[in-house]
Amino acid sequence: MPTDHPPLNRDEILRYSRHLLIPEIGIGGQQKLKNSSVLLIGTGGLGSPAALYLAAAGVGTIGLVDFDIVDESNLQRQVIHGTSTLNQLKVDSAKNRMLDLNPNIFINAYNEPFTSENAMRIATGYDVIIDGTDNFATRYLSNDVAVFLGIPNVYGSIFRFDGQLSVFHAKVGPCYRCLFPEPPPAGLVPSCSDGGVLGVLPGIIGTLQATEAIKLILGIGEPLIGKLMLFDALSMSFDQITLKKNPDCRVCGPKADITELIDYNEFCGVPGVDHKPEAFEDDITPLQLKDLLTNPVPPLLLDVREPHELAISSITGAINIPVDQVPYELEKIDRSRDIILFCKSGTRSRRALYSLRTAGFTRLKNLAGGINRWAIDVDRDLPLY
Amino acid sequence: MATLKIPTLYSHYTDKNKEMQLDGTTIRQVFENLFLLYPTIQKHIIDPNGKQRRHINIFINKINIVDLQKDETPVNQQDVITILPNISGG
Ligand SMILES: [Zn+2]
Repeated sequence: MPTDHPPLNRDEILRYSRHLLIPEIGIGGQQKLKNSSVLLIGTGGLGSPAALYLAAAGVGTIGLVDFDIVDESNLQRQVIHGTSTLNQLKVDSAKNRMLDLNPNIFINAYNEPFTSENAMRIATGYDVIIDGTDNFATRYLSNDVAVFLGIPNVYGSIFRFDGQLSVFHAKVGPCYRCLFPEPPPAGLVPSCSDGGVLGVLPGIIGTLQATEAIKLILGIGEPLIGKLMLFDALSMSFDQITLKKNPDCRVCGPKADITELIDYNEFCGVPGVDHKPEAFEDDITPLQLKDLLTNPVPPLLLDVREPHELAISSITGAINIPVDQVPYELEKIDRSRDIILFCKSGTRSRRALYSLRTAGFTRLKNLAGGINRWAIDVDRDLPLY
Repeated sequence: MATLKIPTLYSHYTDKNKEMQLDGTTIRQVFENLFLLYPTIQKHIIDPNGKQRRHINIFINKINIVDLQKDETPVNQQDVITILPNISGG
């Protein structure tokens, strides 16, 4: 992290002239931006616009944490990356684009998952954290790190057409845990990779996160502390609600019992985490399934995706009952046969498997990796999505 | 009747209805009426022990009902009730 901050040079004064013309920013404010540092957790949907605007605005030091590579399905919304950077590390792709936009800034790229082991090492020294992650475990981790370091955590999250935005700053207001003491039970709330997201939505919310971070650095306006903004793209409505510090908060309350980072995957019952497929005993691989389908009595294939997904890809012979309907349509499922459940990637079908097991079904298997894995390993004519 | 706003996350269980008018003079009654209309949404709001799920917050006119009288909070005609779920997408 750079420690000496030379005054703005001639080129920078020209570059930032539209800022310098605003009385609330001026030379002093622009120098504050240059001297400041922001840590961005995730360079995906939210991180893309946030990183671009922070770089353009002249935030002097920007940290990027991500361990993923750029995938074609990212480009519908992750606009910092491009077709020319497919398969590159996201942190490298983002860093190069940001330095092209503004070579006067300093970027720390952390090509690693943000974990309890490395989080304090990475985050110490930054002025602001921006939470642009895509899973509950890392959101609780980002919150707790910000609380322990006494810095604000600019929170944004999205689903389909809805966005949420807040600034959690436990020194002066509530934190994420004050509002959400616990994550949802694993599997109850789908992620964007299961449920989808309107591509411009993270553009809106991520840009608002960058706005809040810049306001915090400049000390102007009213930060969204103690408030949460709810955005609905379908009705084009921005609603604000009021948040209070929770006296029972386990990390920032007077009786806080979480005083150091914990095991966040355990806390969040991890199968909900996108990037860490776990192996289960009742998993079946696509190749094993292919063999079973040649048996004289093939298993029953139960596709638990939503009906509109069948138009994208399907497996011949499968019956379709969307995951949430499964408990209500048990009579449609022949329990005397072996049943193979599948969805897009294996998460929803695992949920359905548990609900069938609860209902007394025994001959159940889950297609690991879902129809996308099937499309890679068995039926290459099927598209991935 | 009060207005209840349903997040997209749960509009799947309300025939894509994201805003509706419901009877009830307390939060509890409004939600009982919601569950009568749309039974499949209930398990997402209420846990198996009959309690409000901990990753859900319910607001009435911007105020969290935990800071009022929880599900006994009185509801008036012009009130707007918002369900805020914990979502994680990024
Ligand atoms: Zn707290």
